[in-house]
Amino acid sequence: MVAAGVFVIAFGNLCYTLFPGNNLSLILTMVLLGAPYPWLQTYMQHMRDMGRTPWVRYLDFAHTMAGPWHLSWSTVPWVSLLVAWTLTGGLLAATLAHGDRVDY
Amino acid sequence: MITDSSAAYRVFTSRSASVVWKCWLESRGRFFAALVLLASLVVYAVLTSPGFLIRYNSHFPDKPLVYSVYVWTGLFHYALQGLWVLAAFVVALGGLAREKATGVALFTLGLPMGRLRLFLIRASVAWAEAIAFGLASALLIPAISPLVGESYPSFQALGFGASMTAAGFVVVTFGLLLSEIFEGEFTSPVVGLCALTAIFLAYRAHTLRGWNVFDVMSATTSIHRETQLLSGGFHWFDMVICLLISSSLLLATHAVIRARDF
Repeated sequence: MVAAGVFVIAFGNLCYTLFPGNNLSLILTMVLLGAPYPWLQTYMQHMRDMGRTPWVRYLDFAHTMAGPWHLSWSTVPWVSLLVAWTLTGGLLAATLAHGDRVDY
Repeated sequence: MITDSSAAYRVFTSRSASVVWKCWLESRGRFFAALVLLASLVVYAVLTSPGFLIRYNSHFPDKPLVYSVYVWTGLFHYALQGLWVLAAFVVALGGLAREKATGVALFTLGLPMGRLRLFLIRASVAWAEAIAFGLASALLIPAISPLVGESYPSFQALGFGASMTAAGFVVVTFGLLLSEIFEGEFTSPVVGLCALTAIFLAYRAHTLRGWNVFDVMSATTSIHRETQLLSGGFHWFDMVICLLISSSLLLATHAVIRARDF
């Protein structure tokens, strides 16, 4: 859960850097994470029911965080984790780039 | 260059109007973001309802689920109510304590208006935004239900939205109180949202039982057992209790504001 969930921390970090103050970043982070996710989850559930594995499964972070498989070294969702970590790195880099340009 | 400083703000004929405008400018980002969140939830719940109802009714053919029950159970009694609580709490944040932390409280206190009146105007704006959340999201249900071949009475949606908003004033006043106690930007949200979420889920999971604000918000005692639509009688007594709780929280907030040294 923590391994895949770091993405959420980086996302919140970027939102706060872009929209600091007045609690806007809090609700905005929830909107940007929460509004599209139910659609992705429903779509993935539908695909799983049909026995298909589209590439967007790697973005189904809540599924990865929940550890849907009986985890062993070979069944850990490495690709999903790699996607989460890559996005985390990207978001942190974007936060740094923007934070460096903020005029205080 | 000549600047006519009085022309741009001639619309503000009273001091209160300019403070209302200030409160609106401070909270409009949160308001629109929360409105998008509520609307997206309603759109998602309505558009995915046919699939859910088909799956549910195939599993329980002897107890088929009708659309009005799906809407009340899934939205007015659970997800929409939960998100409304979150949204109403978030727009109630801000105020003098937060301004003290950012160093601008003295500018606000320099306005020709008492701190209680400043607070009441901020509370009114938050309350108006919470009403907009409740009515807009509730009325969106009958508006988009025809897209999935269903119908939901607008009057019923309006009734549930009004009930959610009126009883939910407790949540707004709770947010106002916490925002005047804690100065940190995320202290009030973390304390308030964690407390509200824990209590909300505890009641919904039946870990906690008995009278609660959330059941009053969803008009649990005023609905028909089969259709889960409002059926005549209204829960006035429960509503009065909620208003009394809200008034107590407002009085407590007033005491905090009066006692605080800025």
